[in-house]
Amino acid sequence: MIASTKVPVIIAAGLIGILLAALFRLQVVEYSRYRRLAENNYVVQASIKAPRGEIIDRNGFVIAGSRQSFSICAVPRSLLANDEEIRILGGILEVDEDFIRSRLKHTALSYRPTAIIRDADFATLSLIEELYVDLPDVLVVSEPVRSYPRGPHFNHMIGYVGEVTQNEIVSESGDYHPGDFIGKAGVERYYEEYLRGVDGMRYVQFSPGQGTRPIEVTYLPADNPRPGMRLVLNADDGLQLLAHSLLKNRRGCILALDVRTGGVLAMVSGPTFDPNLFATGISVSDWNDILGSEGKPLINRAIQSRYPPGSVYKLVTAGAALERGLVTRRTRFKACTGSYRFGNRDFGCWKKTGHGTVGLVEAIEVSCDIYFYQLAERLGLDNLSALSNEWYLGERTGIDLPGEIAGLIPSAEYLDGVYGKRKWTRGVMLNLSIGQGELLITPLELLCFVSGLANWGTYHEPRCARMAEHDGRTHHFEGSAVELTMSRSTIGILREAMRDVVQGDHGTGRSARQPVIEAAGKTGSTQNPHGDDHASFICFAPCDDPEIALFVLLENAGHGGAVAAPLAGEMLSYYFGEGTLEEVAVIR
Amino acid sequence: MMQQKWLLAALLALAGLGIFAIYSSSSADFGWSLALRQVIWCVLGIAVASVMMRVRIKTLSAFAPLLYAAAILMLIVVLAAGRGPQGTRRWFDLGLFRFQPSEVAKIAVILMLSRYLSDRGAIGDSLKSVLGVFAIAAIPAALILNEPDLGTAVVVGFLAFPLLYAAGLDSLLMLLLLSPLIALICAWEVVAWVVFVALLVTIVVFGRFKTSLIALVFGVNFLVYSLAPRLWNGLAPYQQARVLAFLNPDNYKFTAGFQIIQSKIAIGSGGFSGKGPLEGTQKALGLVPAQHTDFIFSLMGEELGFVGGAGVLLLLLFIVYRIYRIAGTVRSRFAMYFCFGFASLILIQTFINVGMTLGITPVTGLPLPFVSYGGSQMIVFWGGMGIVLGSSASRKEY
Repeated sequence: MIASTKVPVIIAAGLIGILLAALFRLQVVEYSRYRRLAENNYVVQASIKAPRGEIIDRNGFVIAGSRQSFSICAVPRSLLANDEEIRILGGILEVDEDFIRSRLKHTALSYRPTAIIRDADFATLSLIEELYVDLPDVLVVSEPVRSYPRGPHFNHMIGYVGEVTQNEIVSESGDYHPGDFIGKAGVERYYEEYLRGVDGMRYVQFSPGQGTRPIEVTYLPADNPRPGMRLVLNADDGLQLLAHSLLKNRRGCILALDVRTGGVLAMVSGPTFDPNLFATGISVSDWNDILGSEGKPLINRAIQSRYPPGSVYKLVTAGAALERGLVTRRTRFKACTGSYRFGNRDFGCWKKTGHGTVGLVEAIEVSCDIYFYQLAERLGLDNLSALSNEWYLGERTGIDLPGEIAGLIPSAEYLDGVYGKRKWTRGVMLNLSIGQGELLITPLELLCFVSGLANWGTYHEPRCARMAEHDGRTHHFEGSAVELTMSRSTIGILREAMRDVVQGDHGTGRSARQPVIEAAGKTGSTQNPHGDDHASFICFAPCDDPEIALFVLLENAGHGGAVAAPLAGEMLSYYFGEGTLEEVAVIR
Repeated sequence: MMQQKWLLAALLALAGLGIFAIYSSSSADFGWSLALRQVIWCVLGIAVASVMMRVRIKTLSAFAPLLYAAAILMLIVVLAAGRGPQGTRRWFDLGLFRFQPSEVAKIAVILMLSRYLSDRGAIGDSLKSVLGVFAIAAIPAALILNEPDLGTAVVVGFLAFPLLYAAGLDSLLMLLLLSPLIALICAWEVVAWVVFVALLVTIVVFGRFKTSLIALVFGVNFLVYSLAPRLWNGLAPYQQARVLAFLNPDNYKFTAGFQIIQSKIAIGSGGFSGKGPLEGTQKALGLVPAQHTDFIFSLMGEELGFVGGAGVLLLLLFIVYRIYRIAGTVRSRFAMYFCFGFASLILIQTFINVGMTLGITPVTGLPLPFVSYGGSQMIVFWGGMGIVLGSSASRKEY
């Protein structure tokens, strides 16, 4: 049985007929009425930009806020048709006429007002007002822009904002329009969906083709914008400022983590840049200056640079040997004479006169290279790389910042690839055991590992932001926590050794010692082909019940114990002492 | 296949017009990117269609319950994890595109209904089968209603009627079944309500129905009448505003009626021959919202005039007509039901969508089939077309 298709075809023809009749009535019968309406259709919807959410530190200081500014906007479609007006406007704004055209390029067919310059000064605004008769397509719009009231010390963590690109408009899931701002890096980028508010809508009176000036319509209801959520950081403004002033814009980074939660207390990278350059849309020349700058200021060295970790890595080598049961805390090898013969090569110790006979704990305290060469021979490459991987080294930490890169733990296969199969000697392993050679780690990876030791094996995913809040709604951002597969006795031995590095009589990190607190740490000085050693120092404190873990790295600055450790000491002194913001301001 | 070349030509013409309209409405803000994406969706849709064409009807029938269950599952998940404007939960954000399960549900419901009805003989007056048909359509419709997406929910629920008709349900009985929907409209005016009840009584007198059915129909209708205010209050404020604005757009000129009035001005000012491709003035003002998606017909009306607008409508009517014709010639009952349902889906969606741009149906978020911007709808409608073409090609096999 097949149903008749006659009835549905009649219904279909009937329904389409209704539409055709309605279409005919609108377009043919009532055409002149609607054409008139279209010509006088002078109410245009325009958006009101929502202010971005504030970013505050753990104590409530506003790190990133927003302030009102005035933008000089134009109606692209009609301005582009008026060369004389573009010439006058270019004169007032002191910009090229081509610059104005390029600003309107992507919205050339639109009547929606588009910003030509942002954050105009008072003199420019006055000129625009005076010459308004000659500028029928130009209007001044008040818009919120990002501001960083506490200065540049939060740069790399916070990142910056900028105008959306055409690519972002298409690929981002939110509805973005040309001229909208979007987080481009750092926390601004990662938490874009929280920080970005919802734009409002207002009405602008505009008559296409009649050359009268667009004005705001006040008698129609405007849709108020909803500001973005307020983001609360784990960071401490004072500690961050101190780290910034200690780094003095040198190449390197200073990192501090809350051992118990993985919260990022401070993160600075040098050299730095001025985030306010970005807040109103960066100019091409400023952008090229930053990109071309030798120190690569846009790179966040804490998460986007990989370094050979140097002697800091002895903690990992020692941990691996302990876990594999190859040594105890007292195991001694051949005495250190300052040099070690392996095959037909001599491997030196950093202390040319030698350390004599030392046990494992003491070898870490004095950072004896010869001890670790001998340990490496017993441990072997496979053990070292397998355990490093198990402890999440050479892997992204999963911090809430975009662009984090992973370190590199060389395995036998990797070395085969570099040198050719079996073309590398076991001598390579000697270098790796003291953190030199092909080994590359990001500062954050290393600090998360040490923070895990300080926390008796619990490894937290680091988090810059603690939560986002708005009108009583809150989102908490907690990183996940995992257990390092390391026995408690191994952790205990490493902690004891790290304590001796700072508190012991012969410790290489004595210069980090502070009267207020006992700290535990490890120094590193990494040879590199670009000049002096990279100086690094990693530590946590207090020894018994750790709260904070720190990492200081200065490129080409010399010995870790001499250069990096004192900076860590200052950070500890501030964190545990009576340090106030005013004091920090003085240091700065 | 070759005998359907005109059908294919109509589909391609429609898709081409859609791509042009998307470019015209979005180039100011997005350049080529949205139009290019639509081209990609169109190519993908045709690829899906050519795959669906080769799937045997028996296989489709066998997999229909599984597809239906998958669609229901996706609708449940989207309620929990989906996104959409103003806190709705309509789509999954897959980065590259937004996947809208309710589009898939449309096809899944038609397939499931086709399977259900082809498993049974003539439906006659079997109340049990009728209730089964309603249940199959109502479950996804209820889930979609919760997203909330009133328009799509109504369309999915409505699919039950053409399929019941195809199954040979008595026409008067169909009217009785449809009566609660009409009651919902008539419940607001005493005069309309009296006329409605009078008509209902007339139908009951002329048809010979079981007393129990008559009692049920009257019971449901009076329940609808008394619950109408409560149903109204159950609508979201923006839905209420849309209905009120539809009934009297001038009172809501700058709020909910804004879209309707601006769309009518855009279309009306296009006149008989239109303002010319890319020459629309109203689109550039940004006055007609969602012009590359739901309101795309208003751009076509403005730039291509009555000639273009009528052309689009006639292309759609031709497509619907051809699919109904195919439904009348296929041997497989499953394929017949499917074609019937699919043609009705295109028809109802066209009517609601174009009607909304002309101000004769309320504003809902329904795309114009084969034309509006959107990956989900393009792939689903082209996929459905593939099944139709496949069943038309295989009609001689049986």
